[in-house]
Amino acid sequence: MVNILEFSLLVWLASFSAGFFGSLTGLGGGVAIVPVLTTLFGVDIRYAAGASLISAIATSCGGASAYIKDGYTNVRLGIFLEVATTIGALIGASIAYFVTTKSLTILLAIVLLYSAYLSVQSEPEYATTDLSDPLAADLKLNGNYPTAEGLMPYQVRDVPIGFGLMMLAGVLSGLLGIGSGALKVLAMDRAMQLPFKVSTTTSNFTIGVTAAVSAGVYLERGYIDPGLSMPVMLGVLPGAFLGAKSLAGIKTQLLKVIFNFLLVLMAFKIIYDGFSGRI
Amino acid sequence: MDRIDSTDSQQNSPEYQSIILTEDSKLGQNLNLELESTSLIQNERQLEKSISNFVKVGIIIASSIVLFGGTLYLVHHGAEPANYDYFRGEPSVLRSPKTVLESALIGDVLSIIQLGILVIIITPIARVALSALIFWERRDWAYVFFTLFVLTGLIYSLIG
Repeated sequence: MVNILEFSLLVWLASFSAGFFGSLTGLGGGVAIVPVLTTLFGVDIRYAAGASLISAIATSCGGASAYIKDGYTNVRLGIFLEVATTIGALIGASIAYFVTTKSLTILLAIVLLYSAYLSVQSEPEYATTDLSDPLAADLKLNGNYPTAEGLMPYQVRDVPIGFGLMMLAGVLSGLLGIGSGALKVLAMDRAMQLPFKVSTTTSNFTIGVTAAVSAGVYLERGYIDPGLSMPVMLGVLPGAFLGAKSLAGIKTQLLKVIFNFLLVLMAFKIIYDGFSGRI
Repeated sequence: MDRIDSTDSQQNSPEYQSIILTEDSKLGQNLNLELESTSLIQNERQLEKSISNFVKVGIIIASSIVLFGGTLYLVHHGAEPANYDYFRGEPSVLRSPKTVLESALIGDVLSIIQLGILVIIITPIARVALSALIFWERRDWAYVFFTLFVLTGLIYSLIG
């Protein structure tokens, strides 16, 4: 049995890494926190879920302040897509009673694995600027982002499909209390054909809002413990900030590898949870 | 003789500044478009900068409070065993913003930490509200609608 000081230091360390990778990949801090807390520290899933939510918000904020300044985050696109996640989260929360989470999570795991497989197919790093969606121009969604060769413009494609996928991400958030960062990054990367670093940073940006939707509920239910959340938050914030500062120096290909690796881990963890009856 | 009218419409129609050349030359039109797009880009940078700085302030306030409370907590309780393996639920004082604030102000250490956590939860919500204001100021009605929609959803989920 560890004491509070030791426990806090270890949780701090785990949270720092979670913030770093969560911010870098756009997956959000929650991905690693729940499994680490429940399996390594034996924390009850409800406390872990509460802490995970805080880490998701902190990852989003910590990353956002740096990513926006550096010019990666597409703020307008993020705001526009938040409409979709908000609608989705409200739908998800209201149908929560009627859907079996087990079947959903298995579906989610399949989606994640399939997407990880898709992502390792090679594709050009920079998005081509032809065939953009006229809706993207109307809503001023197109933008540019910093690369080694300077600012590269990009166009946003298939806005309605992207919107729909983000809505699905919102539904999953509302149902499962997750940030859905993986689905968001995939929606932006695959459907809307954004440069990968724009996808991860814009996903990171929107997760704060998505997580905040659940936060009020979790707080009121008593899932958010200050003693546990304290080292999580103090670890995640510098981790996320450091992740944001490292983005420029990381090659996109490496980032994708890390992203896919985490996706696969998440998928297995979800399948395991589903079958072991945790969900 | 060419007369150059410069209209600083930053306050009135914040979308762009335009310099109108009375002589209808191609050069004049190109210059107009270039200045227009430069101003649009500047406006976007301004929007982004405001949001980025705001979030940063939120983070700093939240983490200062949590750090302060956390230090006190570790000093007073650091040697106690960590009990998170079974769920008891938080005491009701830590479950609502109002009671957290009251309790923090009288010096309860866990409430102080919880207050900092509340600040970080509120930060994305306040960010949405701020961006609504910015878009309103610019008369960008589509985005005013989007941000207000999200804000309504957030508030509804917190209250409902």
